Amino acid sequence: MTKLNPFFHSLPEVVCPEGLLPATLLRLEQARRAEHTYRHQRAVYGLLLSSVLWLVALTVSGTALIQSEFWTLFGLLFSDFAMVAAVSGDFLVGLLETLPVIPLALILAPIGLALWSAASWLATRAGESPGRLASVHV
Amino acid sequence: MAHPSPQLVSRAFSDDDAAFAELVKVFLPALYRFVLTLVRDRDLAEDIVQETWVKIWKHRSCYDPSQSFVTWSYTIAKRTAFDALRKKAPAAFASFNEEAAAELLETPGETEADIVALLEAKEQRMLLDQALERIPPLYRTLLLLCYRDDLSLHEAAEILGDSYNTVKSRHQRALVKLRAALASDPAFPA
Repeated sequence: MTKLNPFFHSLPEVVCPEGLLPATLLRLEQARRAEHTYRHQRAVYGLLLSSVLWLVALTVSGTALIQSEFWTLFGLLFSDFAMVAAVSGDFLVGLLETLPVIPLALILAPIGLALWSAASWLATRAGESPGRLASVHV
Repeated sequence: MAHPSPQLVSRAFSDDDAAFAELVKVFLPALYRFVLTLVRDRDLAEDIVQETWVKIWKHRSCYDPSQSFVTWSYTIAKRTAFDALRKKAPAAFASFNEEAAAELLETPGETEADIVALLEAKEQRMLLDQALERIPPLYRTLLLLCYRDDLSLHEAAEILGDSYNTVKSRHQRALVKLRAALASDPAFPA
């Protein structure tokens, strides 16, 4: 605080326009509605996309699983159980090695996206209903 | 100047609608006054203030409670105002920067005391407003931040986005400009 401050404090007061407060609150409400809509749409599109991706991933991994040697090796369990039991440890490792890991892991990506979209959708639903800021002023 | 309490800011930024509306109500006049100082156009100032509040709301998660809300919000308002001014009159804004750069690096002695003496001697406090109108906007803004809003040079530097040393020397030049504007006023005969 200097000797100059009192002179500045005595400057003519700038009057805030009367309509500025309601206009600002309305603008805020519009911005919030826009964000609310954007988040809702993002969640819905995320769920739709994850459904499509999940079907694609399921087809790809299913095909890869059918074409793998997994079933051939798995069939040994029924045709030659005694031998399988004798080398059960090696058999289990061999069985796992024949699994098409990458196509199966691909299924996880759309599941993750679906979970994230569902959480986002629920958060949007649980969020405040539009119109509260404007109504606060009223 | 009405400064919102940290408690109000904290409540407003934790999705309390009533608190946010209260924050807008409390701080709107100060923000409007600051923006009007920058743009000198009431309609444009109203638009900028509304845009500033939307930005404050959108970026509320970025606010650091250890920081001054006034400084933070003024910074957003200044950027919004400068963007609007650039869109409105890019040439005028550029020419102002050149003018600022071309200023003499005068370091006046007792400039502040001179201004006080001028104003006290003539009892013409109202003329300060007119003198402020005649100095470049960035100088006017800086002086109003320091003397009307009682902010420190550090806070003003943060708001204006310049270094402390730049603002310190600009503050000196602003005082020189103000003294010259007051001295050249017909109400202050030489």
